Amino acid sequence: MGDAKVLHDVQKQTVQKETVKNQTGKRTGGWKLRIGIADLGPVVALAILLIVGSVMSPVFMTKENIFNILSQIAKLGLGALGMTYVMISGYLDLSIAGILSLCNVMAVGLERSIGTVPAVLIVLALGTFIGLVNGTLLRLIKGDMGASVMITFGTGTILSALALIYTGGYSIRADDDPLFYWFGNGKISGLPVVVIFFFICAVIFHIVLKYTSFGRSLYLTGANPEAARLSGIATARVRTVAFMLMGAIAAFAAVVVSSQTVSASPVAGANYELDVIAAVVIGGTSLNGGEGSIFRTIIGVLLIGVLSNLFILIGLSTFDQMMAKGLIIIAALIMDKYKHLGMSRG
Amino acid sequence: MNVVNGMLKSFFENIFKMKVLLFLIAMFAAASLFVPYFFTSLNLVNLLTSLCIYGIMAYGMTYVILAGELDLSVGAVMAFSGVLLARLIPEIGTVAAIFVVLAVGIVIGAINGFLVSRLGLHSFVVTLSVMFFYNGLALSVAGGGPILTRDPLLNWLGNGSTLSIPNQIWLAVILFFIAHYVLRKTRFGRNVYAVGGDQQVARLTGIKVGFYKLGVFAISSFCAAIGGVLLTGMQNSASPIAGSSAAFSIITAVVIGGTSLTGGEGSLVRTVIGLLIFGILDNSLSLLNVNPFHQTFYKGVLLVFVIAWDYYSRHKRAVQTPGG
Repeated sequence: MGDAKVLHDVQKQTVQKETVKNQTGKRTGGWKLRIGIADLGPVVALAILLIVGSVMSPVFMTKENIFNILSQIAKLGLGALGMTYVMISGYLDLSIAGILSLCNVMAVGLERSIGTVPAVLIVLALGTFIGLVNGTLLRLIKGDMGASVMITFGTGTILSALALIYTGGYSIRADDDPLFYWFGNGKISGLPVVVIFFFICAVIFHIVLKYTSFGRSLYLTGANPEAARLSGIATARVRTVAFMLMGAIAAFAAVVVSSQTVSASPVAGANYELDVIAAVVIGGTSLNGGEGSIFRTIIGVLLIGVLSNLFILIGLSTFDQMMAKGLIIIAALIMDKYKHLGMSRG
Repeated sequence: MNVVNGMLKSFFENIFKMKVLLFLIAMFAAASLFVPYFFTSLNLVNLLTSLCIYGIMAYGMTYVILAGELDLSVGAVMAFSGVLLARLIPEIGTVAAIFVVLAVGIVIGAINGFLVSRLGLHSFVVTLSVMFFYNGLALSVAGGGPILTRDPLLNWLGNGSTLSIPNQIWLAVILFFIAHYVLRKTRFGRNVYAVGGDQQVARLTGIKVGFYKLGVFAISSFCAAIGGVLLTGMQNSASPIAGSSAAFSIITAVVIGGTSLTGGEGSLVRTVIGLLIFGILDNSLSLLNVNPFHQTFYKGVLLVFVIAWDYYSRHKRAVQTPGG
């Protein structure tokens, strides 16, 4: 008798829950609405920044400056796409500064000796290989997020040292090659090529993340590695692939940077990881894994890009920028925490 | 007297259990045999002196790691403390400036600890962001370059000697015994182990986990501030970019000693052994005239190897003790 009542209650609750689910499902049908409240904060912040920027500086809203911002955030944005994957899978990659430095000098060095196309291909392969090493190391030691921070810092240190060893500490100039120059400075009907590159990569990363089984495994692995493993996902392999994509895209960013400056510096990657993590986190991708999207990352990249540009326009030093970015990450972490507080307590 | 006796006894008992000590002895012997000028009194004193600053910071880091957290901000805090000291000395005098800097160190650590314990954020991400913040702040306060200090008291601390032993070594040894005593013989130390060993169990036994996490971060930043004071004294100038990779060198040294990054396992004796191993390697590479870029490369390899080994052996232990 009592059991029957309990059963009835449970059924009633389930039905109620499902109705609620359906209702919310209907309410958030279109893609615009699916962005949701959580993503709105960074968008609003970006809008406010754009308004503040145009008020504070007359050159801010000019076409040159906007293209300038967009070309400059290509480096940041490419790295952020890869970092989004790594962070969704529940890891963090600090080696990208080293990857960028090494691939930067390798791209220019190889371009001088064997030409642009082989150089770019080799550098992309190198980046992918570095990601493979990172992922494999972490797979072998069954590392958690803390391990990924320490290990990738170590590999990053090694790569930075290799970049310095490769050039002997000096910057090197690239040979004149229209194709190499085009990568970073070319324009297609007025639009910088790097912006188009970034856009294409973003679309590909978005589609892979949202509409493939790999993308779904990435979310599951980050949200609950144990559950993901039990449901048949090769979590270590998924994370390794995320690292490989990260390495490849960081190598591509290195090619773009070396082409933009037509030279390579062995310390080109300094603070790159700070900028990239700041962009991804401020966009709203959680450091706890299992959550995030390319859309959020792009908003975050635009935020950091516009902010950096504004800092320069109003004359803040790079030191102040470092402080501001450090604070931004902590603020984003705290906001993320409060966003999740209701869920974790419940 | 009894306390000192007991400490010495446990000190020696621990030493004989450690394989890492044998490694240190082997390394010392190898360096003495194969590295020219290594086994000279001048070089050995130099080696020990060069380890003092990182050593003192490593004591703090050991507390943090034992409590199951990581502090990546120590290098930046050290640089910032030095710069702040150099700026404060002309204003308020040396002694007052040192006290202010040490107090600021404690406050910085308490903020880190608050972010980690109260808000439950990952310590390595928090301290990584904090590291960038204080790096920027140090550069900003210093105006981008080093600040010269010509202060007799600071210079005495950093370069002076008492009884023909450098003051830095005196300070490092005294702080070692204090830190070791607190860790081994007080409730605070025992509870740090408990918190790092199993946070849930510690909480259920009534240990205020948040307080201890805040405490270890405060200790770590306090040690970093001492490091900043000593470094400024030693170099007679404060560099805002000093210690950019200090945290990782220190963590490497602590983990080489055998203190596990999982927390709850390790000791300050192990940290000192790890530091000596790291120091001998560093010193030998310099004496052998190895290119600094190559030195960075070798240290990176060592870091990856040590961290990987720590995690790998931890996994092996977990497999060997089923249900544990």
